[in-house]
Amino acid sequence: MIGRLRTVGAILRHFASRQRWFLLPLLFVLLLAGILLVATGGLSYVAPFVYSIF
Amino acid sequence: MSVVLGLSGEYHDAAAALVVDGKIVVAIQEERLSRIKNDPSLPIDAARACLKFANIAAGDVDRVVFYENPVAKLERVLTSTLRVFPRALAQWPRAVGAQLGSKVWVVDRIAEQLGVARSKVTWTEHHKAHAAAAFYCSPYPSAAVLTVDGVGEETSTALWHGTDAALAALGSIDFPHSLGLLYAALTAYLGFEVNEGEYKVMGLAAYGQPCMRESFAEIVQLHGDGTFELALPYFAHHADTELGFGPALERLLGPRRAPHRPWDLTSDDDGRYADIAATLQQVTEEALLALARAARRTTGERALCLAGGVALNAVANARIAREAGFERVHVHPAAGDAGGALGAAILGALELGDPRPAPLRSAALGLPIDTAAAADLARELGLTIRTSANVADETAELVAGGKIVAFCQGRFEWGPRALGQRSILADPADPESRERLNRAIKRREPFRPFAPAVLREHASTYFDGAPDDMTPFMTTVCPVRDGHDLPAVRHVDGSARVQTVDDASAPELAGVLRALAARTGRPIALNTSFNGAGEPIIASEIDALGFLISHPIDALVIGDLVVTR
Amino acid sequence: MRRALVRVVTPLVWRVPGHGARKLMGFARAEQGSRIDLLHAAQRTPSLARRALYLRHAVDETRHAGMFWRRANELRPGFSPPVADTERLFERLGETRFLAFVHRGEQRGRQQFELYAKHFAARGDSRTEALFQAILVDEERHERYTRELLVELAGSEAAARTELRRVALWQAWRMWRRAGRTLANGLFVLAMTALYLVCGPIAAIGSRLRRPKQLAKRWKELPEADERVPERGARLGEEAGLP
Repeated sequence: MIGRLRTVGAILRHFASRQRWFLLPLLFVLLLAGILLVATGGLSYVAPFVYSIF
Repeated sequence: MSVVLGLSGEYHDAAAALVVDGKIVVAIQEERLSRIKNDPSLPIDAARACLKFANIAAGDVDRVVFYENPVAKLERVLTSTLRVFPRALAQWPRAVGAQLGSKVWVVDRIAEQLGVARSKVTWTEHHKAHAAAAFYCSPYPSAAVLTVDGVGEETSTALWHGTDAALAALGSIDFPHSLGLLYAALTAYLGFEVNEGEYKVMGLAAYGQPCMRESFAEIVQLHGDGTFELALPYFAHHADTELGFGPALERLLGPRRAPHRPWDLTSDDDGRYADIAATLQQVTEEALLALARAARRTTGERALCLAGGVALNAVANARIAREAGFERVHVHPAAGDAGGALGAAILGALELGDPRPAPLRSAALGLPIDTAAAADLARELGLTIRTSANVADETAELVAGGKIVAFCQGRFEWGPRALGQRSILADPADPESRERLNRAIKRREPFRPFAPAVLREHASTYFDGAPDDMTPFMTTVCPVRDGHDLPAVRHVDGSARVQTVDDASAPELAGVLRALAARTGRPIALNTSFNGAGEPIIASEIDALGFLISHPIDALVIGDLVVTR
Repeated sequence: MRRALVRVVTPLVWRVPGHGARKLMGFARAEQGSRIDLLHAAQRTPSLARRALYLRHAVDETRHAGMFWRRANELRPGFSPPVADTERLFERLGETRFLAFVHRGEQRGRQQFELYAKHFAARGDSRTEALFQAILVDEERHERYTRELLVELAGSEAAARTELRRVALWQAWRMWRRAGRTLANGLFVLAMTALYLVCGPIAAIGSRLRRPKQLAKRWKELPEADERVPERGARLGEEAGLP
């Protein structure tokens, strides 16, 4: 968890250094959405490897 | 003792490499272990295997270096998708989900899954990792270094000056202008899989004429100084790392080729596609030559190192060696993203104060074969095995007799080429072997050539320009000299992707070639990679025996065992 | 109950044009996924006898994947070779439960393919019938040996049945999770699309106005470099963004 904050710091520093200020609000929203997605397992790999009936 | 682990992955060609006290100990591509071709997933298995091989615990690792900057990549993906608003709408959710849900956290995931402290895990820059692999593994104390690929964080092409243990960045060309993405787009256009089909396009090119230069001039413009520009409307300008092509390209060049349609190079249709491949190859060669000449002008160096996915184009490398004005050229054996893992590890080691590693003499950096386990499994599978008193001699006898032999020795290779550690060997003069190999064993398109392995000391007798600094790793092509009949390994344009073999690079294969020379007068064998269609090169004895029971090869030589069905 | 469902659905499902080919490709991918899991099992099992069995099974799955793929391409050309990933089932489930999983998969496959073979025989499609008949021979063998191994590893017939039940529950739970994930994914795509449409224009304009100076570095440091070149590259990128 602490490690993730380190990465968030790196993200903010990078975007600041490239003067992409206007992207920061968007980034914040995306980060939230990304976290939610991972929390609901939306991104984990799910094998569709069954002999489907339909 | 300083222990540095380098990792690449997330997009394609995941790999792990271990450097201890400045020495390259082991390097493994994840696909070899997971048996999934071009496996992009984080190479935790490969990393663990590296540590196990070196008998080092995860806690004793000083530094783990990831081969690219995930934050810079995120920025490029976001800005390039937004910049083409609203065209990238369909890609946006997937790109964002991948980046912010997973890829940007790669360093944290590495730390968690490997059991290494987060503070020990860092990243380097994508093209710098390529450059480090190219230069520091080369035999040159100083050299110009050119890294050319699809795209790293933002850069697609970069020029460096390597001196001793330092790499200075001199200039770069950025996304979306990229030779790698140009080649990939045309690869997709020709109906092949991107990141696998480029090699096939290179082989196809020899069957066509580069007569479509005018059309290509619309797609890509080469400036004399090495820089170039893609005409972006022809390409699908998405945020993904793969640059596809748009309908404008089909309007210019004609309809794309349907994938997996059987090839008939005598037909007009496929002839046209071959011409497109030939033109693409010529344009790429010229672009690379211009880059190489710029490198020569700027650095004044006599040696050149190449890396990045485009450096896998052996035909272009041969032209660079001949025409760019350098005396010596070296290409890293794992020129693609896997090489970045090794480059990252070396950069980490240099930062910790270690010396530069010794020049790479052999690509056998993987895990060794367990001959005893192989014997046990072979017996359990009901196969016939016998221990050979002279494996080199027996293998040569089989090959000279027209048999197809799978040859499995020592530690598996680093990079996409089989160099005698995991090879299938056959008689280079026998067209029937080639046909049988292509059709029944490797199941490839008929225009794909096979490559020869030759003893280094005799290479110049058979091939023009051999040996050089590229031939031990099969990263260049050489014309077959007149008077030598080698139909199974000679491509339609008279060239061959030669591997020169000596005791330093592949001792077991060198032994076989010497025995072959005693029998046939020629120390040459057809050397193709030991793997089936669509699977990664064989790594362990389990994979090797699985191959034997499912493919019509004549024998498997593994260690000092000869196994047959 | 599943068999009844399959019997009802089968004639309809295969009749939809193009869907049959896609189903066959789905089966090819299932075989390929199974292959990868069995190869991992062969690598990781401590027993030599089981290693050989898993390896032979993996080789069969490879052959099946190829057979399904080729037939799919005959019906509708253009499918790439089946690519599979892995869920690392051997590591996640342990060898005994993994065997139970594989056994159930082979059993269901066998039941389904029996029905399909009959269906295609009745329809007169002898090629597809032959495909399923050939694969059935192997599936029956796989079903048998996995059951035997499961009883051996679990210790008894009763214990084997328990493992099979547990794995069935786990699969049901997985299907539930999968549905949830699909929903989450769908919502995410919707939300991101809305976000792109809303934020896109603003970000695009801002992006164009403020290009970091670094991007203009290109070949500037090199001798004989054309000073105009980096600018030209930058402008092209902007032009491509115009709707």
